Amino acid sequence: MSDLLLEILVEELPARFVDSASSQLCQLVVNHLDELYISHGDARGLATPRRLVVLVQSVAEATEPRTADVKGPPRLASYDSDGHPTAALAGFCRTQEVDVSEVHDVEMQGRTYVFATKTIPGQQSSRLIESFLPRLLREISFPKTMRWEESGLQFARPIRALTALLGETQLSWEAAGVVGSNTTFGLRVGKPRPISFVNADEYFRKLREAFVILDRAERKRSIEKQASRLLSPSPFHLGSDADTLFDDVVNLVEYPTVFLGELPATATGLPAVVVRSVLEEQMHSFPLYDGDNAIAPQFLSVRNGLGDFIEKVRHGSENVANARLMDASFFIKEDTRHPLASFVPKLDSLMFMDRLGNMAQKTSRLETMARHAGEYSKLSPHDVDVLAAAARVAKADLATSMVKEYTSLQGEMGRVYLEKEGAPADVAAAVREQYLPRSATDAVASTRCGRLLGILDRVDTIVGILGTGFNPSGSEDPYGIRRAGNAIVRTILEQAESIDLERLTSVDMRAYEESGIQLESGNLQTNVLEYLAGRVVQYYKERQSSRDYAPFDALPLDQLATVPARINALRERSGDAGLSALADSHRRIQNITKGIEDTTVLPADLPLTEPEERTLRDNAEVCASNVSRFLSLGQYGEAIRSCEALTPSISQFFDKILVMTHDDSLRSARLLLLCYLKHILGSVCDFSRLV
Amino acid sequence: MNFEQMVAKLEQFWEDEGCTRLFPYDQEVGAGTLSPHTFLRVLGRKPWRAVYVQPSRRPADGRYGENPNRLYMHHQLQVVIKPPPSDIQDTYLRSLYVLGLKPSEHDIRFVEDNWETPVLGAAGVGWEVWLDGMEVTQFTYFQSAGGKELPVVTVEITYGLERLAMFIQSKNNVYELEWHEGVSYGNLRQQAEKENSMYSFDSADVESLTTLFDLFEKESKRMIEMKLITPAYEYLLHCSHTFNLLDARGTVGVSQRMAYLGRVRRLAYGCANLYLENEEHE
Repeated sequence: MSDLLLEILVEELPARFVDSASSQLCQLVVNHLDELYISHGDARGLATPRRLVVLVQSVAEATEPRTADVKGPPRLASYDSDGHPTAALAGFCRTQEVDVSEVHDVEMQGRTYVFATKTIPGQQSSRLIESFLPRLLREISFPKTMRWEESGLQFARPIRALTALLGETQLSWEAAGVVGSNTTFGLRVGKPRPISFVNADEYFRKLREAFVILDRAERKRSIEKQASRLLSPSPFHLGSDADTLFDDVVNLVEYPTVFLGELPATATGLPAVVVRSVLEEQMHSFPLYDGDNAIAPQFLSVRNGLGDFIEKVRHGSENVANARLMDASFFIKEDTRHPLASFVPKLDSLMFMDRLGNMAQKTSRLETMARHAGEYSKLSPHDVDVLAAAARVAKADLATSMVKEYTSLQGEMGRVYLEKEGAPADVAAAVREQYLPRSATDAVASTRCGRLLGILDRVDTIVGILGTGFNPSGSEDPYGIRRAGNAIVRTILEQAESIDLERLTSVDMRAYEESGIQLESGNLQTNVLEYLAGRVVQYYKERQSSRDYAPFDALPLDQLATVPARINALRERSGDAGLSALADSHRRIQNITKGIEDTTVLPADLPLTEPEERTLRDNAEVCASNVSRFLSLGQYGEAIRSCEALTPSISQFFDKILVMTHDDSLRSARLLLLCYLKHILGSVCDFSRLV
Repeated sequence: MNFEQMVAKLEQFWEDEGCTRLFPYDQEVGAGTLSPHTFLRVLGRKPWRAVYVQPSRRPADGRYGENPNRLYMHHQLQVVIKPPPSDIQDTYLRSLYVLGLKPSEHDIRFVEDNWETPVLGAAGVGWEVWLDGMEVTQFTYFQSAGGKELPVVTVEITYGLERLAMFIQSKNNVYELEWHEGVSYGNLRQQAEKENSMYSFDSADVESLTTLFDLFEKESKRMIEMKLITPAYEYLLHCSHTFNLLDARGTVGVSQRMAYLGRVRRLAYGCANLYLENEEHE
């Protein structure tokens, strides 16, 4: 038993590639070992931006001898009419090195095949491992690869050294002009000095001495520990998102040293979002906050390397921060020479999407949609005005220097500039919040107009993209419409933001027409609504709540905002005997009225004569008015209870009455009664889908 | 160390690494990559090693000489080596050492940055090199140019000389850099920055520039037909700069922009094809 150590030394990998490449490599090695019947212990993948490492413990020196069944030709083709082996069987036996008398029959899917049992002798693990080493490099998949030498191997970055050691035996491994060896290099400090080692233990010890921390979790712990030590005597603290920021930095360094830097005076006059973007995006550093959560005059940064000469690094970083912040303050000064609205005309030189015109056209559609908000939402007239004002300048900041330079500040700069010029706070907030939620974990917008503006913008994008004939079925999301759809659904569900998406879509499609952009006609509106309905299904699926949602998935989309409250009401009554009886009744009604449409009103002269059907009719009409009142009040539990109250009369009806009678008029009257019930129950939910 | 000393040290360093030291190309370009010393030489299979300074004009980046970090014209030191030596990263780090920048005393990082020039149909994979958080170099392995996969990869190392000098001289304002003893960057460049910004943002005559673009394009096409690569490529460079001026003037709409870039790209493909044909015949 020995340890297997692999190292691929590369020029700096993109930080975002490191974790995935490391786990892929480890998994690939394990898979190959297993496929080759090489027994082994635990395997572990380690990585820094410069190396991918795998350590597999207790790898057997050789494989155990074993037998294997090999499939041969069908029995029918193996023997001739006299029962003698055919050429096909003889050939098979020759290649498998068994005698024709040693084969046996196996039945597979109705046919009989000839099988040979082969004895495979034990093999040296080192030889077997060498056979898969060259493949490993091609098997790791990266988001983007490159070539750098004449063999044309595709890898994320150039490979500069390869190591494969089994115990103390160096395995041969050659690729991309690199010959495997037992040497590597440590952290880049001073002149590069080769480090050689005879086994895995020595490798780990020497790399540690050469200031390489191979374990990502250890690097992260080190960053956290150093940060908290530096900050413990300080009145400042890290932001709540520091953890994700650490994740970003941990694969940029082999040996992290944390330090504090001073922010220049320039910083104090700048909006907090700007300082944050400069530090986080351009410098991979961390802003600090004071007790009031305002930006502190210091920042935290992580150096790749030792604590030596940290003063120089600090000084350099402070200068860079200063230069960047001065740059930003120059941009803001330029941008604020004119009101934000003056950037709107410039949006005509900014493309929205290929074939969908420019951002000025998008702006005018957003304004149109906003002005019609009363038609598809319950926005007050005051809020409609706020929404329209926000829509007017929603995209203006895209033409400002600041957002051109820092695209992630879209919406943020709009708000900052609007506040500076004294625009109403709710307009400024909506402009900022239109981009929320930014990710699947981000919170949705907190103001109504912000939520609405975000929905308008995203519906407009989805309508446009689907209107170009784009088919969204693939796994890629090249135009971001899946993300847009998810954001719409989350906003509606999580904030109970009632909105009629069908009407909104109509308004938008008209606005496209007015702005002179041709969209594919046909089923566009249906496609858009089905696409959004699909996102709702996905929303519940991702939260493992598909079963909870199933009774509601036939509900019209304009009721979407009520779904969470309905689910809760139903959940509160779950386990109730009445509910399961109701589910049976609903199912029975659906089966017998399959293919017949719901009925919303019963004619007064319906020929119902039997007591059970008359009772059911009376009860149903009472139930209908109760249900509709409870639904409009949002009292879903009460609505469900009203439906449950119908169950006894439904059961009695089915016990006593033959629906499918030969009398045409009686049959259709009874079916009509059932379609009426189907309508009442269905307006609450599809009880038949309760499990 | 002043600006000219820094440049001299870098040039000497790469000359010692076997690079031919060339002069800046005598035409307006947006980046050292557009110089035929890079764009044409990366094509084909012939080995190539060169180092040169290239003043690079980006009319839209001009700031009337008022912004301490942005310039209409900045200077790049361009190193191109085909094929790339296996120790090229270490060699690059040694070049910083020559400038007094030791990896043990600074935070030097290679941060992913893939470069693309659609106008040349060229793309590469590589990094920005950060020196204590400041990007001082673009480090790229060329993968394609002229719309074609390259049979032999070239490594391109582009030093942003102003950025590097600001770092070395500890200056927060580019105009305060010392170029030569007693001569500042501002003395040499600030007035020209102001005038060129005024020209490209406010005074450039759109109609004339539009006509010039058409004429340059026509001449470049004619030279491609006559298989004269150098003049064809030089007129392409005129087209590219004229387009940059029109773009800075803010008169180019989105679809127009795509069309202009497409026109320059077709010229670039034409020149690249000619160059490769020539290499085959040799």
